[in-house]
Amino acid sequence: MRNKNLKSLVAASLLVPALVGCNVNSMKQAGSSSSASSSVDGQATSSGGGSSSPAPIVAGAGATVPGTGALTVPTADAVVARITNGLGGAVAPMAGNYAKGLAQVRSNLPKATDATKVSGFDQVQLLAYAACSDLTTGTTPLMQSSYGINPKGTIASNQAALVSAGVKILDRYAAGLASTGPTSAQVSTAFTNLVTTLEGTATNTSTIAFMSVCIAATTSGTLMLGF
Amino acid sequence: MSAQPATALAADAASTITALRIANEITGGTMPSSDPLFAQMLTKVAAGDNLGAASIAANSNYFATYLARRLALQMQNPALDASVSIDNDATAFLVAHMVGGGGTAPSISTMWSDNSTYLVNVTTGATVTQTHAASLTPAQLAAVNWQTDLVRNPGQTAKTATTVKGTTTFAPIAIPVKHVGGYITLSDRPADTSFAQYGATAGTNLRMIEGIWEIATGLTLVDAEATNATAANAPRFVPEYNPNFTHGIGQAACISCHGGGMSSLTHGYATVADVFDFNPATGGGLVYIPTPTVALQKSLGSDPATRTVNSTCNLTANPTAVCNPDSSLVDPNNGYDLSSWGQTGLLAQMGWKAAPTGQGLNQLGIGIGQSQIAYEFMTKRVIGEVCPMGAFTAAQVTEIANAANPFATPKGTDDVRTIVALVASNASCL
Repeated sequence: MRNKNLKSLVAASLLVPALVGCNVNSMKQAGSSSSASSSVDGQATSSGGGSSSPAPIVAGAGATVPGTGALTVPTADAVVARITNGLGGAVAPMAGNYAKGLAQVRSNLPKATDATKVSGFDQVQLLAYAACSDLTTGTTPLMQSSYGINPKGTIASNQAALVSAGVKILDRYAAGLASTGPTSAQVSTAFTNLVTTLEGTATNTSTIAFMSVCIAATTSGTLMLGF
Repeated sequence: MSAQPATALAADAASTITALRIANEITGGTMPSSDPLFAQMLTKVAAGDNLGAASIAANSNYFATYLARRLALQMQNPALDASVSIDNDATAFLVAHMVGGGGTAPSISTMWSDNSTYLVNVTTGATVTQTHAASLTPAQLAAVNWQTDLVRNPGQTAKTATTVKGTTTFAPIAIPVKHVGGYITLSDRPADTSFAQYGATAGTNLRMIEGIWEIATGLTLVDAEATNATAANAPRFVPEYNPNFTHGIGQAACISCHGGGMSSLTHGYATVADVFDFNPATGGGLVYIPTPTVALQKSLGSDPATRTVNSTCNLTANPTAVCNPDSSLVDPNNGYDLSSWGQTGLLAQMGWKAAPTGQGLNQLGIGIGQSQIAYEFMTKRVIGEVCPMGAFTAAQVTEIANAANPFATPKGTDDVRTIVALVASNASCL
């Protein structure tokens, strides 16, 4: 992938989750929810002598930054499931490039859910690349039959379908918020900007553009921490 | 709210985000937002019932496939590292005890004692075949419904090993109930990454009893060590004349663990020491030794060639035997006596409810399943998976554990999904 494309891809990966309202800033402050019906939710305080000092935390990292209590990292199996679901079940982790990619990166994927202790985030993008590529193969590739993108057409002629594909994939991660949430217009704009940037390089094809859109949506959707 | 596609409900962004968090924390993201269960969760969240939403996710096959299996895979080694384990008879057993597979109710309390083996029904055409989990192909594994495809078979089977002229042959043998340790004693083959493989491969089986305690309670060797032990409580193969035996020099005294801790003769070691081995040869796996001769007694040392010498333990011999002549040896009746932990306060810390004495791994496992610490550690493990950045006080952990502990007052559900739902719906996790 060309550097320019990669730059656009990374930008989109970082922007999209924020735009759909899934960033840490949108999360509730730890312990501030009032909607949980569990009898054991909320922060306990020490009971002796009317002290208001909080009781020591014995489980969980006791995150003090607002919202970080909800952070979790998808482990290897979760990453695979999320990518598969995000692409609508059209790709299979036991077949095609997806399987080949998974064989290469599985041992590097996150092994734990604790965001402060885990590594392997970067491998998700590689796996997304492999999975997305399976949508571009065959006489009538799934990028065409599922997302309406003609691989032989120009990026400009496929622009609406490319943007729609990105939103559609992200919708699967965000339960429809990408297209109908309060920041849906910004999501659409982010993908439009990505596609427009790709269009600016004459040698880019619609398949390249689809790959960029697919990787951006899949990576950001899979790695939405706290989801 | 009527059932609608999840996307149609997305206008309630806050509820959608909360439902997504709960669903993904519990199912790892395996539940698509297009699944009708997600719509049900969204309805619950929108109504302010986060616990109800979490319960839907916890009771789904997505939980069984992802988190229950992950928790089961972790329990095959004290590092609780799921990435080094594969599905096997022991993990299938644990999944069944978490989600109630095989027609039995979920049961945390019997994870260390249930005398059952769980196989997976694999359907090929019109034929249904009960299959060991370790035999499943990747495609079969991906297709398993862990809530409905598990089938319970009473009893557990190990192997006997017979060596004639250097050739070892194996034959199946039923493990007597007295020695059944639930998932601990399930392994049908070599290299299945089961706890049995971890605990009983080579060595002296100290690893096995230590692993049982560590994985069930979350305690470390140091947590359980004590110096109020006698040399009689230390295994025969621990050299009493080692300068660190009774007084540590730059280290803990040997006797603090081998005599007073998890690897003491009296703290459960005798339930596993001489009756189990793990043979990695083809056809092997967990080996049950019905008649442990001196040469087979791992409590006399890891090297079979020195066990006779250690059994005699004549310190005047040349070379000097590496042993503890004051050891009372492993109880041939596989007894245990945890009374000394009562004196150190450890039993109280465990919330141990069973008698401190007994015989056999099965009885010990029943006791573990009745102890409060097993439920509290399970709660902490679930927090580590579902809400690792959350904030839980001791009181909250105890309250959640009690909700699942069937020996608490009032009785808990004995269901790990109760723990999962309560953790995931906790305010600090949202």
